[in-house]
Amino acid sequence: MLVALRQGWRLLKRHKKAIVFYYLANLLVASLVLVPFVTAFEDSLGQGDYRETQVERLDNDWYQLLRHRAGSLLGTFSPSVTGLGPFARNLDRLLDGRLGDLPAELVGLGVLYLLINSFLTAAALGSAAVDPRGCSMREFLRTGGEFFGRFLRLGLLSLAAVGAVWLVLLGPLQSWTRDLADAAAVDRTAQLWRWAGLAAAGLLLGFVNLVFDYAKAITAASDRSSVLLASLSALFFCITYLVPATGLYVLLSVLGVAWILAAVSLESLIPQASGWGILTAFLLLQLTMVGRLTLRFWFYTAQLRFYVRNEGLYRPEEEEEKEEPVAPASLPVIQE
Amino acid sequence: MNPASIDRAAAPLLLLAALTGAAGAQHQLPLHQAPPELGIANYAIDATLDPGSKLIRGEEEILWRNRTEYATSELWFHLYLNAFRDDRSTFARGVEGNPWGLPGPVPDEYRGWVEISSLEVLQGGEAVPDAILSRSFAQPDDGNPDDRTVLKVELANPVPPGGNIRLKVVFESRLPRGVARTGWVQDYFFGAQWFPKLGVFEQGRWNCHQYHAFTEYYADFGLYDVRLTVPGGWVVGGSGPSGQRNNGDGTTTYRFQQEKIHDFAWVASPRFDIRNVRVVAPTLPEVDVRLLILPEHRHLGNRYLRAVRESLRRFGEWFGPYPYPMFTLVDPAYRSDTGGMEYPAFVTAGASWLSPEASLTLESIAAHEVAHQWWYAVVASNEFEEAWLDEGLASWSESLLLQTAYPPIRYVEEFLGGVPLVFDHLDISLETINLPNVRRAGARDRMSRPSWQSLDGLSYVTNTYSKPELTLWTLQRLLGEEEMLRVLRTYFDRFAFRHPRTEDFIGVVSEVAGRDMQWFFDETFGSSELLDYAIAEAGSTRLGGETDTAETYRTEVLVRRLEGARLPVEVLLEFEDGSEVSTVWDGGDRWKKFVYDRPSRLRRAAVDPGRKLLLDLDPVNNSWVRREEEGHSPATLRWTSKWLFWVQNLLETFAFLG
Repeated sequence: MLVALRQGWRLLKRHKKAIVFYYLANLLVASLVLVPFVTAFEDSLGQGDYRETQVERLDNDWYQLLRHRAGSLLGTFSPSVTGLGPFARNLDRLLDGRLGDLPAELVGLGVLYLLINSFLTAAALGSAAVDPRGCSMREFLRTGGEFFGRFLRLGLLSLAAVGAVWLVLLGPLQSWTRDLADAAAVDRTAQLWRWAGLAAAGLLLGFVNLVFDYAKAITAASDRSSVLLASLSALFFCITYLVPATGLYVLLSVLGVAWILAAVSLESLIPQASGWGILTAFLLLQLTMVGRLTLRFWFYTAQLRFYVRNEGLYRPEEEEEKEEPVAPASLPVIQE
Repeated sequence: MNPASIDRAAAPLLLLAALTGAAGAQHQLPLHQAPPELGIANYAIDATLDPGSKLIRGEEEILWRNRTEYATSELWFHLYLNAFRDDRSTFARGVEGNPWGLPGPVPDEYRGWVEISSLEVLQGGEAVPDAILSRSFAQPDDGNPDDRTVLKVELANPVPPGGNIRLKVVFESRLPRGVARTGWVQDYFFGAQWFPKLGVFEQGRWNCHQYHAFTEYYADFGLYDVRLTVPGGWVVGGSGPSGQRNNGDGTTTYRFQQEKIHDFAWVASPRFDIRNVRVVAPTLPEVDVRLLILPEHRHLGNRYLRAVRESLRRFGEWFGPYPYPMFTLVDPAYRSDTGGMEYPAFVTAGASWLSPEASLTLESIAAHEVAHQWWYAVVASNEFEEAWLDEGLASWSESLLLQTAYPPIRYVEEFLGGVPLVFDHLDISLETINLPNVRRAGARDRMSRPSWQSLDGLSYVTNTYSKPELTLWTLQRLLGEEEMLRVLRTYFDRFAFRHPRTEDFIGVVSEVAGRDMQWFFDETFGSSELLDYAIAEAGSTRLGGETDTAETYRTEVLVRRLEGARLPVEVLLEFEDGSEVSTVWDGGDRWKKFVYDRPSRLRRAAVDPGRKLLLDLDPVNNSWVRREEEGHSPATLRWTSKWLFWVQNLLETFAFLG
């Protein structure tokens, strides 16, 4: 597990450009709704005192007025966009199955982002599998093109799997825990039941995510053409190596949580009444985002390494910096 | 059998005990020797709770004194548990679906009712034959023939002015599954409106309304001597000091005695922890406080007690002393629908297991209910017809208490099924915390409309709680805090143990303010209009040609009244040379243009610059500031960057699925 983590990190360092792509895609897609949001936000401040008084702290009278009048996009603004809020809000929606309840603009962005991510992950993971010692920009993009179709199908299959899990397991399970919470004699018990329902959602969705992460790794490492078979192989692989595979997943998740906590704590220390303060905090948040995307790529590379090692596809010479790149026998050799 | 141990007894209670015999003797209120302190409607109730069947079997003796100048040959009773008898009651018809929010038919065990098996007029301890001509259900509010929440009793002999009547009523009540302030959940029983209770005879007629979805209560003051028998080991709380006696048969009888109250409610459960404290303040009488708290909320006990202590002390100092020797606060059971409710000397609060201290929700509910001891229990306005009068004052008192005794309220959002997270970038003013409700539903009804006639639930809440509180805060800004407290002190002092009406309150406000304040109430309490002033246009243009050496600017400011309410408002213009012009506009017209020729340009214009008119729906449009540079406000940049970060993370959440 730790070896996979280390090798994954090494692989990640050799494919840093993937992180740049991930970040740019993330920022650009999110920025597509920036103009309507800024316009609406600016309008909400009016022409008077509130333009000057809402910089450091928000006023509840203004905020409530914004909520009263806001359209769907501006309506997603709340004081909880600070601190741990951005993570808690999204996790809440994910575990409660309410991602689709967002304004149509944001759901649309989500779909677009899924598409772009399919390409980027195809490129990043494909490149990492094909040429562990790094690749050129051209190779990166070409690999992305080569694997995109399969990764897109994997993404759709993953969505279908999530849907099926909700339909067959999580929906009834959460309904059951809600009933138990409603029937509970005391609110503490009700709370525990609610948490149990959410924990079940977290575990099941996490497992689906884990399986499809390995499905991607298998598709890239073994050049599988059938995403269905790759997914089944991933499922068997995850069951076979349940403890180390989940251990790796949990370890990286814990690292992510630690990263977020550190970033949030640091951001809270920055005075943001001036332009410089606002800029510094913005850069820190963007760095946090880069960190999060790096971590996601680390998931992929570590899991790729974990799979390759356990399936006997590992070749130590791949790790040697000084050796010429040699494609493993089982991996496709890309002809220039 | 253990003798009853009364915690504290006021002199009239001892007198009553002497007149009625020992604690174990039959309840009997002597008609002619009864001390005047007994009040108008006096009850001696002996009841037994059977938790299995949810039944309360009881007997009550009522001594009613006609203190009006009118004779009456009728007695009207509230039988409020009948609101939960079926789906045809006026209460049930006022609720969408059913009162319990159940998807299907309501199981019988959820239903509640009260039935009178015997009602007699007593004289010398004996029943008077043929003293009652008839008994029938009355529907004075809506004529709904299926509503049985008001009982009209016709007497053979009228009760003359200054006369008395003594009655004996045998009744059986079944508590419903917790709903609308009463009922049971598991082994928690809350008895509110559980016994046949007289309405108020005033101005020659009975004021005795049906039970509606949006109403509370109104009754006359009197002495309550209540004995409630419950299974042994159960804890019972109620209005007033209590003693208890082990009956030796597996049951315990609690006896409560309290004078000068107009209702009696109780709670019983074997699960309660009891915490007793005494509240002592230099200039106020001592009050024994009893907290009945459920074990799962034990960690919240100190917060409850602090809220009660602060409230009793500060309200006592601000308005007048709490008049009863005892105060009981109940931590209500989960899903019992009995939380946040006031009864004389006895209230329920409400909290969840994870109640965050930052939002002060627990404290605000507790403070609100304690405030009702002044505005409801003692100054007993009519909660049916003028609900704003007690709820508005209690809400305002609650906010004043929190503002004075607690750190500022913080913004809390709950995630992951109830985990509270505090976000510290929002300044929340308790004075304007009700503006959102007023925006949404402030125009649906006027505040002075009887609450059961509210358009809907939101209108009821808004025009009974939110808008009255906001209006009282506006009044405080106009009068000043000291004068406002003098208003309330005078109002309390003058109307303690009486039933004031809105005009009485307005009279006190005008009297203390030293000027007629009727105009303020006409535009607020008596109207459903809202208030919104705005700086619609503002700017300065240079007068004269380019070659003129002396600069003169024409400044024009258009102030508009965007809503219907008209209150005088200050308009302040600030110029770049530091000079200011302040005028008061009466708001009579829909707009007014202010024009000045001055040597300097306008820098800022503000309507209501001191924010006195807190009722103003949109404080953002109240000002205009000259800006030299175009571009986005730093506020926009800062908060948009945070929002963008959330969207970026949201995209990653989507990516997690694929």
